[in-house]
Amino acid sequence: MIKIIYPTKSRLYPAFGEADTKRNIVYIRKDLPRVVKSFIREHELYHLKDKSKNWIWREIKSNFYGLIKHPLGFIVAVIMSLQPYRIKLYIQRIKEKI
Amino acid sequence: MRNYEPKPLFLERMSALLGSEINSYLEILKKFPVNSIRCNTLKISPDKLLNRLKSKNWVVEQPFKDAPEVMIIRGKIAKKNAVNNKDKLSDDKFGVETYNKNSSGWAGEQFRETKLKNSQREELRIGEEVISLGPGEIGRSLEHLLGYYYVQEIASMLPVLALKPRPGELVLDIAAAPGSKTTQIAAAMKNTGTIIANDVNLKRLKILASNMERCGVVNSIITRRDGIALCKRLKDAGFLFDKILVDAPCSGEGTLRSSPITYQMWNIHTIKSLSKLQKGILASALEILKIGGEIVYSTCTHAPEENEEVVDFMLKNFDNIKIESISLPIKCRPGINKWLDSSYDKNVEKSCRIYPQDNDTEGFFIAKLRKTK
Repeated sequence: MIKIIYPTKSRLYPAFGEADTKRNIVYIRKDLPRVVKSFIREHELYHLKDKSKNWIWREIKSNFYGLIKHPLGFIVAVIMSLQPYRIKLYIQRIKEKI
Repeated sequence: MRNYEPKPLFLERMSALLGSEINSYLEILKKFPVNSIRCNTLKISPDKLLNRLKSKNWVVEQPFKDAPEVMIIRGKIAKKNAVNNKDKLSDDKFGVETYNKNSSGWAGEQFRETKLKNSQREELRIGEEVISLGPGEIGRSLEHLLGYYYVQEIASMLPVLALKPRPGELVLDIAAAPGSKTTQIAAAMKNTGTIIANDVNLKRLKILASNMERCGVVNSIITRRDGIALCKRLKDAGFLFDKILVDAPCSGEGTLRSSPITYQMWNIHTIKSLSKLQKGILASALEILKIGGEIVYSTCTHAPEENEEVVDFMLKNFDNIKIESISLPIKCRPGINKWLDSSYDKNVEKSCRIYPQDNDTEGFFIAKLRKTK
């Protein structure tokens, strides 16, 4: 069974959501707009079933899946991610994963 | 080359404080400080963080059993041949100066010495070695960005360990920026109760706010006021605090290992003027403390004018306070009773002096006062 938890911003900041693949739990930030929450939910749920090893490929796939399900949520999430702290997070993730 | 010479008066004063130990003190000042971090228990447990850091090949040590959130990063495991060139390149690229153990100062030729326990050495496989982390690597990691840990010197964690804030309390941090101790207080209070985090410098307050956001602190109010003015305003508004942390602005003699430039900035006039300011802040803080409440006064300096003299001033001028003993997980020396021509209250001995050579940390001074009536 998959569990979806909506923690406060302080628990997940600067991330929007997180997928715990071992325990089948999806965390989504409570403070996000509803459309973004829907997009993040689909995005993280896709992570739970996705077994591919390459991190970037995994992210592309789950973003695409979320985009199909909630296009507006995807657009708002992209706009919300144009903030320095989010960009910094992406750069750091890419650096560490490569 | 990063070679700062201590001023003669500074040496004279430190010799008067330490006696024959002055050489070991000066020797440890030349060494690079250890990389210590504090696990942010608001976001992750120490065990989980330890596993994450170990999966990145970092060599992590938890020096205190009672405080598992305190961690020391000794370096990272890397394959022998690949490492040296890579590390040298990154050091050259960033122009980093590392400590040369064969010379008397700072040099850019050798790598930092990495001390390891025997048990950690045994964990290494053939063809692997432990190297020091690259410049700023601890502060740039994903875990740091996610607020899983705070880069903080061990000695700087001690005032909050002495304060022992509990969930639900009302706590004032008078000189809060950049937020190491405030985030530590918030973690100890489990994000409950209220912390008023004050600082006078706007630039530093921005760093404080960003650190609090990164660490997920939600029980704090940030104010920008001069410490004495803030206490007066809070008193007029009828606030009374359970605990107050006065991590006072100081001459920074204890931070010489991490910022040797303090050698150049050091002068006796600053110490004297800071001493007056510290007395003013501490006396103002006492007025907004509940009966039975506690104040922890701390500085990162060794100068008795900024330490024992301030505590002595409080004990002599206020009959409603008493100094409490502090138990800390590292070696502490008692406060001094006599300094040059001055003699201080005998109870000042209950305060705590931390010297770099005793624990391989920075220098600190901590005293805990309780309001009795």
